[in-house]
Amino acid sequence: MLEENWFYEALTETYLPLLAHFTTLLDDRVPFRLTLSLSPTLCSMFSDVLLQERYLWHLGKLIRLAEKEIDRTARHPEFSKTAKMYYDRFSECRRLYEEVYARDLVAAFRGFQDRGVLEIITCSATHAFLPNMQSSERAVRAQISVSADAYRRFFGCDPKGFWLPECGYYPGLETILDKEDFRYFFVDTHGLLFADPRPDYGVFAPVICKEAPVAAFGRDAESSRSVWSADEGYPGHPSYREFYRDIGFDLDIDYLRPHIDPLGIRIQTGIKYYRVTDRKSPDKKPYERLEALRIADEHAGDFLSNRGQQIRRLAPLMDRPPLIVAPYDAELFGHWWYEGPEWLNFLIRKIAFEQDTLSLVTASDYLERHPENQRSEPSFSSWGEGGFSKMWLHESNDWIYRHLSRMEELMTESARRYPEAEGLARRALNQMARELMLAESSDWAFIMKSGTMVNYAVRRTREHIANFLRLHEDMNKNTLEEDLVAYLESCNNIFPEIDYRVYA
Amino acid sequence: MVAEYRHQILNAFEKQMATKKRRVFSAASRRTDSHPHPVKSVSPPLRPDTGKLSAAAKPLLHHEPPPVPRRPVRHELPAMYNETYLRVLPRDPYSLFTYWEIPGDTVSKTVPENTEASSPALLRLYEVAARGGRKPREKPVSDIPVGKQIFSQYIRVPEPGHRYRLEYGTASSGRFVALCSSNEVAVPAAQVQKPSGKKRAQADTKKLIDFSARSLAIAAPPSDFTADMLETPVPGAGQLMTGYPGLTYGT
Repeated sequence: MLEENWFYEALTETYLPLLAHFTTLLDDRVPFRLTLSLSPTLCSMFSDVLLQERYLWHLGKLIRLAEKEIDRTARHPEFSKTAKMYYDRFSECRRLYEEVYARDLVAAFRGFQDRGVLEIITCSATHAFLPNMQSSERAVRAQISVSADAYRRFFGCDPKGFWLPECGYYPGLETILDKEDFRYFFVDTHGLLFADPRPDYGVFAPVICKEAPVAAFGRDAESSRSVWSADEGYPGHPSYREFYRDIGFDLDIDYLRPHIDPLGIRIQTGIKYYRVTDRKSPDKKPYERLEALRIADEHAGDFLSNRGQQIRRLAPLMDRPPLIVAPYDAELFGHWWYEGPEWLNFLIRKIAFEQDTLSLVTASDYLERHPENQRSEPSFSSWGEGGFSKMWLHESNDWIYRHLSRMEELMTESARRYPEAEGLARRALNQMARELMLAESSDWAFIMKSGTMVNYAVRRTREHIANFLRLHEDMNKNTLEEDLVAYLESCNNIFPEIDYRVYA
Repeated sequence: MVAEYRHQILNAFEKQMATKKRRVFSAASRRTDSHPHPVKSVSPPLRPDTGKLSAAAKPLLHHEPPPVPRRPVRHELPAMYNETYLRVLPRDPYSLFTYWEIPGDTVSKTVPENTEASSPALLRLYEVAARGGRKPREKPVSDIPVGKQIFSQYIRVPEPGHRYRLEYGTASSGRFVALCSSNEVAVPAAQVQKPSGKKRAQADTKKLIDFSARSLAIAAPPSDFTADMLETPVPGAGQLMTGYPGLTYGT
C-alpha cells in the first residue's frame, strides 16, 4: 500500500504534470530535446491494469478530500485559493489520465519519443546498485539484459542509453552494457574526472571506455548544485511550497480517515498549504501559487544565465562545443519541488526563444555530432552520499550481500542444470529469477541506511530471499507445489516474460 | 513572440485546467474545523515508519493473490550456507567490505594436524596491481586478526585506485596457512590522474579539470569513516607473518 501511494504521488505530482507540459510545448511549437530514464519497474507499474484502476480510485478520494477542503477553508481566503487549486489539479490529473492518455502512460511517453522530443533510456531491471554486484557478472548481465528486453517490449525499439542506478559505476561494467548494444551511460562528476587517463576536456565531453566502445558522460557539478544544494538550491526558496507540511499529518484523523489508509495510518495526501518561508523555522506562511510561479520563472532565467556564462567560459578552452550534463531525479520535479515542472517548462522556452548560446541535446545527439572521443577508463563512483558505496554498504545493510551472492550462485547453477525446464519447473525457475532481482533492488539497502521504513525494507528483503531459497530447495528435492508457485507468481509478478536462462 | 509566449504559458498545466468546465461547490457542506490549518511545532517525517502495515499492503503490482499455499514460505533465513567462500566488495577509495564462511571441515582438511586449536584467524590483504599499471607480482600488505566468530569486516586499504584481494587463514608456528582466497577488486581512485604527456586534443585540460571540479564534493579522507566499522588496529597488524612459502615480502 505504501509503495502504491508513492507511485500515485509520483503520477499526480510529477509524471502527469510533465506530460502536460510536453504537450503544451509541442502545441506551442517549442523545440526541445530531453533524455528521460523510465525504469522497467516504473513502466511495469504504468502498465499494470490493477494499479491503473486503483490510481483512479485514489484520485477520486483525493478529489473528494479537496472538495471538503474547499468548504473547510471557505472563510480563510489565504487557504481557500490553494484548496481550489488542488481540486483543479487533481481533477485535471483524472481527465488527463483517463481521457487524454487512456491510462497508458508508457504509450504517452513513447509518443513524445516518436515525435523526437524525448529520448527514453532505461536502467537495471530492479534498480540494482551494480557496483555491489560486481563479483557476479552473470547477475549484472541479467539485470541489464532483462531491462533491455523490457524496454523493447514497452517502446518497440532498442534502448540507446543506460541510466546507472544511483550513477553507480565500476570499471568493466561497459563490457556488459556493450553486449546489450547500449551506446552510453552517465557517471557522477568524479567518475569521469578521475578517469584514467585523465579526461582531456574534464567533464565537458564524454570519453569512450577502454574495455568496450560505450560512451561515459559526466555530470556537471555546477549546474547540479544550483538545483540540489540544500543551502543554495532553488527548491529551498521561501516562496516555494513546503513539502513537509501536509494535511495528512496536520489534521484530525477522523476527518482524514475516508481519504487515507483504512487503518488510519497517516500518509502524505499531497495537500499542503504552506510555503517554505524559513527553512529553519516551524512557523510557516500560506502558499501563494502565483508568487511561487513568478519565482520559478526567475530561477529558470537564473539557471539559463549561469549556463550561458559557463559555456562562454569553457568554449575558448576547447576545440569542440562544451557539453553540460545536467541530470536530475524526475521526482524532484513536482513531488519534492512542487514548482519543478513549471521551472523546467520556463527553462525550455527560454532556451528556445531568449538566447542563442546553448541548445538542448541528448547524449545520442552529441555522439552523432562528435563520434570521435578520447578513450579512457572512468573511475568507480556513485552519486550517493560520499560519492561511492557507503549508502549501500553499511553496518545497517551489509548483511544482505551474503544472501544475495549465494542466491546469484544458486540461480546460475540452476539455470545451467535445467536448461530446458518445462511446466511447473520452468515457472519455478522464472519465479526464482524474479525473487532474486527483487531482492537485488538498491532501494532496500538505501532505506535500511536512511533509517525510515526500515522494518518494511528488511521484511521485503527477507521475503524475497526466503521465497527464492524455498523454491530452490523444492526444485532440488523434486517437491515443487503448484499452489506455492502460483501464489508467489501472483505476489511478485514483475517481468512476466522473464526467462531464467538469462542466468545460464 | 517571446513576450507573447509568457502570457500564454505562465503555467501550462494550469492553462489546461482553465480550459475545462469547473465544478461549482455547495457552501452548505458541513465544516469540520473552524481553524483552517492547525500549526504543529515539528514537521512530520517524510516517510513515517509506522511499523504496522495493512495485511492488504502487500508489495506493489499485486493482483488478487490466490489462497496462501498449504506449506507457506517461512521467512527465517539461514545464518550460514555451509559453503567455503571469502568475498570482497570495494566501499570507497580507502576501504573494503569482506564477508566469509569457512566451515569446520575446510579447516580440518587444510590446516596441518599439529596446528594449535587456538591459532589466531587472520585476513591477509594483498595488493594485486596499481591502477592502470601492468600487473606486478602481488604483495601482501597487512594481516588483520579476526575473531573466529566474526564473519564480516571492513578493511582499510593503503592506496586508492589499486587492486586488492584477501586470504583468510590461520597462523601456525609463525606461518600463515591460507584456507580461502577472495575475488580481486579495485578500490576507487581519489584524485585526478597525473598528465600522461600525450596530447590528444586542442584543449586547456588543466583549466577544464579545474572547472569540472568546482562544487564537487567527494568522499572525505579516512578520518571521515566511522572508526568502529573499520578493523581496530591491533598490535602486529600491518606486520606479516614470516615463513609463508612462495612469497617475497615487500618492506
